[in-house]
Amino acid sequence: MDREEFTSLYGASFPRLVGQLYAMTGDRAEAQDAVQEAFVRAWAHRGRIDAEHGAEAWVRITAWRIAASRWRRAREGTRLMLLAARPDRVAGPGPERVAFVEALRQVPAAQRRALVLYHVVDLTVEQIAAETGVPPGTVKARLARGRAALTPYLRESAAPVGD
Amino acid sequence: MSNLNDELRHLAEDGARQARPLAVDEVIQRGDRRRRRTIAWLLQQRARPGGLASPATPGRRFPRWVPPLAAAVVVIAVVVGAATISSAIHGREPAEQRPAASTMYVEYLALGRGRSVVIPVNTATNTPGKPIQANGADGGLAITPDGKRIYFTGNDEVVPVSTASNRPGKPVQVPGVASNFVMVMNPDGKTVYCVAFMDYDTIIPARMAIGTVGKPIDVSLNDSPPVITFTPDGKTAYVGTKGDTVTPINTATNTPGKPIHVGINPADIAITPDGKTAYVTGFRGDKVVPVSTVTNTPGQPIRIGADAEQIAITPNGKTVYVLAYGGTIVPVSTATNTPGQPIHISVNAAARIIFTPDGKTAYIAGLDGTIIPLSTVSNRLGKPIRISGAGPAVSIVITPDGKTVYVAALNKIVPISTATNKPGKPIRVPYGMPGGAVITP
Repeated sequence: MDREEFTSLYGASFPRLVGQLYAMTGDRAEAQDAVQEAFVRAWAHRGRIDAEHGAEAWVRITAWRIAASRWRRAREGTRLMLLAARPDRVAGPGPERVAFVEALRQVPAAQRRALVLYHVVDLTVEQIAAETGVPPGTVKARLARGRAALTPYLRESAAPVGD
Repeated sequence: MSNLNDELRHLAEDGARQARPLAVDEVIQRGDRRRRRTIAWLLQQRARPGGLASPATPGRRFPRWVPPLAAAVVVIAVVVGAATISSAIHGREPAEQRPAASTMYVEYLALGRGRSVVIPVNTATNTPGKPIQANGADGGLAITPDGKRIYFTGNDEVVPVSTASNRPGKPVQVPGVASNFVMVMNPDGKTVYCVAFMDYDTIIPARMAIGTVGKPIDVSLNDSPPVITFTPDGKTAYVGTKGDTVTPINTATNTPGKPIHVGINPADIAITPDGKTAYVTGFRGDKVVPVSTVTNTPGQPIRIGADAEQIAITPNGKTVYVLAYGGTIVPVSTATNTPGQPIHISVNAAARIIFTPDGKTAYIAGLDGTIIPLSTVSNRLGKPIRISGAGPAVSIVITPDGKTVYVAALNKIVPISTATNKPGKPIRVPYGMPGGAVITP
C-alpha cells in the first residue's frame, strides 16, 4: 500500500470505522483513539496490507483488538473510573438512545462486535466468522444472544438475524 | 427508534459524524517513526543472548516493509571459547589446554522456500553444519546459559533443540500467538516471555523447563515490539509500559508490580551487572532515567542533549553508553549519574553497542552497515569497519576472549579479528537473510 492508497483509505474510511467501533464499544472517545492508533499501525505495517482487498477490515480488526485490550485493563477498575468521568460518554440526542447505548454496553463484547459487523458493516455470518476467528455457529449464537439482550430496549422487534 | 438494525446504524453514523481524524501526514509520520523503531529494535534484539522471535508474517523472515538491505541483518555472535577442556582422548598424556570448539547457531530465512533454518557453525573450523529445519516458522533464537539447548519460535509454539544432537525436542505450545510473536528469555534459561506482535497487553510465560505455559501476565506494554529486560539474576523483569512507566514483574509469580513513572516513553532498558539500577531511555526527550531496582523508584533524570534510544552498560558497570539518534554517543558515569562529553560518530544512527570482556573497547554498530571501535579508556574512535553486503550493522557480540567477532550477512558469515579490525574469509551459507545468532559456551 503506497502513500496515495493509504491517504485515500484514511480519508474514506476513518469516520466510518470510528462509527463502527463506537457501535461496538459504546464509547466514542475510545473508538476514536483505537481507530487512530490502528491507522498508525496500518501505515507502519503497510507492506502487509493489501490496499485493494481487506485494508479496511485490517484496520477495523486492529482497532477492535486495541479497544479490547483496553477493556481488559478496565476490568481492573481504573479505566472504568476514567471512562465514567468523560463528558461525552453518553451519546445520542435522547433518553431512548442513551438507554440503548447503556444496554449495548451490558452486552458481552463479542456479541456487540458480531451485531455491528452484521447490522452495520453488512458482513455475512461467514465473513464475520472469518474476521473474528470463530465458527459460523458461534457467530449465529452471538447474534441471537445479543439481539435477545437488546430487544427490550427497542420499540419494534428486529428482523431475524444470523440465519 | 425502530429496530436493532436501524438503531445500530444510527449509532454508527452518530460516531462517524463526530470522528476527528488527525491529519494524514501526522499519521504517516507516526507510522514511519513506529516502523523505524521496530526495525531497529528487531535488528538489535536478534543477536542478544536472550534471543528474539520475529514478528514477521509466517514464511517471511521480515515484514515486507523492511527494505532488502535493512533485512540483511548483521549478526555478530559470541564465541564462548574461553573455556578449556582436558584432552581426555589423550589418555595419560598431560591435559592439553586449548580453546573449546563452540558451535554458533545462526537463523536464516531459506529464500524461496518460505521457511527458516538454523545453521550450526563450528567456530574452530568456521564450517557450517547441517541446517536444522525451523518447522516453517520464522523464529528467533535463544540459548540457555549452560548452552545445552537453544529455543526458536514456531507457529504457536517455542521449540527446544538439544545442542548435543541438534535435534528439535517437543515444542511448548503458546496458544494464540501464531508465528507473529516476540520471545525474550529469562537469564535462568527456564522461561521465555512471549508477546504477540499485535497484543500490547499480555505476556505469556512459556516455561520451557517443564514444557507448559503459565498464566498470561496482564500489563499495558507501551509499544510493540516490547521493551523487556531481566535483572541478571532473572528474578525480575522490567517492562516498558504505557503512561511513561516501567513495570517490574516478579518472575517467580509472574505478577506485575506497581508501575514506576519515569516520565518518558520507554525505548530501552539496561540493568547494571549488580542488578541494582535500571537505566531507561525514552522515545521522547533527551534524558535517561535511573531506576533503583531495590526500591523501584526513579532517580533524577540525566540530560544527555540528544534523543536517547539504545543503551548499554560496560561489563564493570561503571559507565552507561547512550546511543542518541543523529550519531552521538554519550557516556554516563553510574557512580555520579553525570554525562560525559558526547562522542560523534560517522554514522547517522547507531543501533547497538557492545563491549569486549575487559570493557576497554566498545563496538558500535551503525544502521548503515558500519561497525566502529571505541576505546572506553580514551573515548576515541577507531577506524570504521565496513562489511560488504551486511546491511545495517545492528547486533554485535564479541567472543569472551575478545578476539573474534562474527557478522552474519546475506549469504555469508564474516569473522572479524578484533586485533586488526579486519574482516576474515567469509563463511558461505546458501541462505539469504540472517536472523538471530547464539553460541554454545
